[in-house]
Amino acid sequence: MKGSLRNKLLLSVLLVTSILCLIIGPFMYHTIKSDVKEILDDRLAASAKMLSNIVHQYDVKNEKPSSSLTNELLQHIEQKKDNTEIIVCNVTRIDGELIISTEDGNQDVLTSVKDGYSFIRDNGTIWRVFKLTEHGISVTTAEKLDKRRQLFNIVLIGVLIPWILAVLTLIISLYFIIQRVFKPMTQLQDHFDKHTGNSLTPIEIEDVPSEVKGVIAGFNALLARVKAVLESERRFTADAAHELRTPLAGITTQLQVAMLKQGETVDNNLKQANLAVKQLTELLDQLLMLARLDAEQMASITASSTANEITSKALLPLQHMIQENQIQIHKIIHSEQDLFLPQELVVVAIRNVIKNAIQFSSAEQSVSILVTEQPDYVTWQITDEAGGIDPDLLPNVTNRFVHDKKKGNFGLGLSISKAVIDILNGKLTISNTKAGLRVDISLPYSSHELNLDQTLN
Amino acid sequence: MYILLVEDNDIVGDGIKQGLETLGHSTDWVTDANTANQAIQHVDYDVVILDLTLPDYDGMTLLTNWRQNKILIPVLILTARDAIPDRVTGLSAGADDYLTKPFDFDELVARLQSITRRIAGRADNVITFAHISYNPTKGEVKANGLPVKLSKSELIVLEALMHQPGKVVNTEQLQDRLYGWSEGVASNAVAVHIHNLRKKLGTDLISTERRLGYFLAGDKK
Repeated sequence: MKGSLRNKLLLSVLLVTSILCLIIGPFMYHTIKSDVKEILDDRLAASAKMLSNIVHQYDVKNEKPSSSLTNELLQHIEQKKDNTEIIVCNVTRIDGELIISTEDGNQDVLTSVKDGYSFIRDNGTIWRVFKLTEHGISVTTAEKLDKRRQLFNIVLIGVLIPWILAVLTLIISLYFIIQRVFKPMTQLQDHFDKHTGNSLTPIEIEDVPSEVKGVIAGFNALLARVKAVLESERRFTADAAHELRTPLAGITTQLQVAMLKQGETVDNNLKQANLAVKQLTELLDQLLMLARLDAEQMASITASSTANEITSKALLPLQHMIQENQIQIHKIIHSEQDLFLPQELVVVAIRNVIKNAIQFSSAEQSVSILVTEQPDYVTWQITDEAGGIDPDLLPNVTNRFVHDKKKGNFGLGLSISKAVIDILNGKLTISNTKAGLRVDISLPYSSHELNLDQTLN
Repeated sequence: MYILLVEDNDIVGDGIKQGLETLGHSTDWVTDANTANQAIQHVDYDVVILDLTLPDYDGMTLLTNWRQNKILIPVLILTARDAIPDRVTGLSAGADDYLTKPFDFDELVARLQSITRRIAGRADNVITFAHISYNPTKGEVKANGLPVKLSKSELIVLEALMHQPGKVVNTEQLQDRLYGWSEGVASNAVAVHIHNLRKKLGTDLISTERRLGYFLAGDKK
């Protein structure tokens, strides 16, 4: 119950309704009571007045009202109910001569009251009395207080019952309306109750109010993003595991075979195992580099260097591969400006692209490296003659562990280059040429430059 | 065993091929799915070691295609994907066994022999025919209970014949087992080995089907 919007609303409605009832109830009671009293008093007075006028008319004519008229008048005034008189009256002359009287009206106690309204008690019965004296005649009308109270209660009940019914109907209707309005919230709660914290099932609720629709849409979008990220992580873990396990398998297989070859030369097996160790080491270095790039720990290191220095450093560890694969490297540097960039990162980014070009090239093929300057950036253009990449793969070639049908695995190299370029606000474009692949890496002169996307198009 | 190894990684493939051949098993090593497909069409292998990550298309797709085309050759999947769903997918696609990298070489060989034993309907590792018994695991041959020393090539020929007792194994199949699918070989090489086997195990053991091949004497099929 605590914290429930619906229950709070219901309680609030109930509380407000109760307060209103408590305020209005007594007010209504007193108002009704006052009005009923006034009406009944007016009735007493009117009856007295009427009698006074009628008797006076006859006095003027020096006549006496007929007995039938008298009876009719009295019946009208008495308003007997259940054979009991409601109003009694008594008409006398000032000297005490009784002119007219109802059955219970011929009482001394009625004649002894003062003019106007008063209460009298007679034999345990309380009367409301009105006395009018004019034209030498005293008219006294009286009503039992019990009867007045009974009348008041009838009126009160007649007013209260519909009012109470209306209030109850209002409360019950509000309850069901609130239940209905809060139904989407209940469904939302049910959804979360049914699905555990690990569930990424989107929320699907019908008739969602506009106030909640945006929240649910935003939440579902977030779930979709989380799902995509988890899927990407799962894929990366699976791919990374595969990439790590393969060279390990190479090492163990070669070593086990070396042990099988008792007495025979095992040089080749050990050489192969060593090569696998190198591959594994390189892969681990790349994974660590990616981890560091994700943390952007290395992006803050900045040293001044030229494009020529960076390119030379990138090529240095690749010399053995270049010689072994018999690749022709053509390097043309049209840039002399100092670059204030994290040198180690830039070298890695450039090296990975060049390495891919060398790896996929055949003997005697060329890899060209052209560096040019533009107003806001310096560009490395690396082209090869290795036949290019499957065009369908081009948009995703910088994803981790991408696999080309002709060229095989791209591993992590291009992913790392892309990550570095993104951190430095650079741009990487990859396209097929007639002979092979062309990769353009554009970097600002300083790592604090504007986002290149605003200037390059 | 005559094994087709489908593995695109040079170091792993080279290691497995060398190891299997050291143990006396003929191994053809291919590095992509298309070549594997061609090999299967032309050669009668005993078992295939299949890596799932191949350059042209996925090993799982290759396996599924084989099974759909009723190519029921036993397959052991050898892969770095070790997740349970991957294993289940592989076995459901028709693989006979699944081994993850890195692996123990002895275990690989044991699993291969287990598969071929199961396919041949044998309960144990020893293959017997007439007075000859052959243990592929140990590479031991006995005639009338006495060990007989055979060369690697003679062992390969004998194993091929004992895997299909009474059934003609054609000369080309024996040549493939001896020298690999893509290698050229002298035309009388098989005949030489048959001659040597007859000399060591008995002249009546192996019969010749002219222009076709050879079979272990008994119920010719």
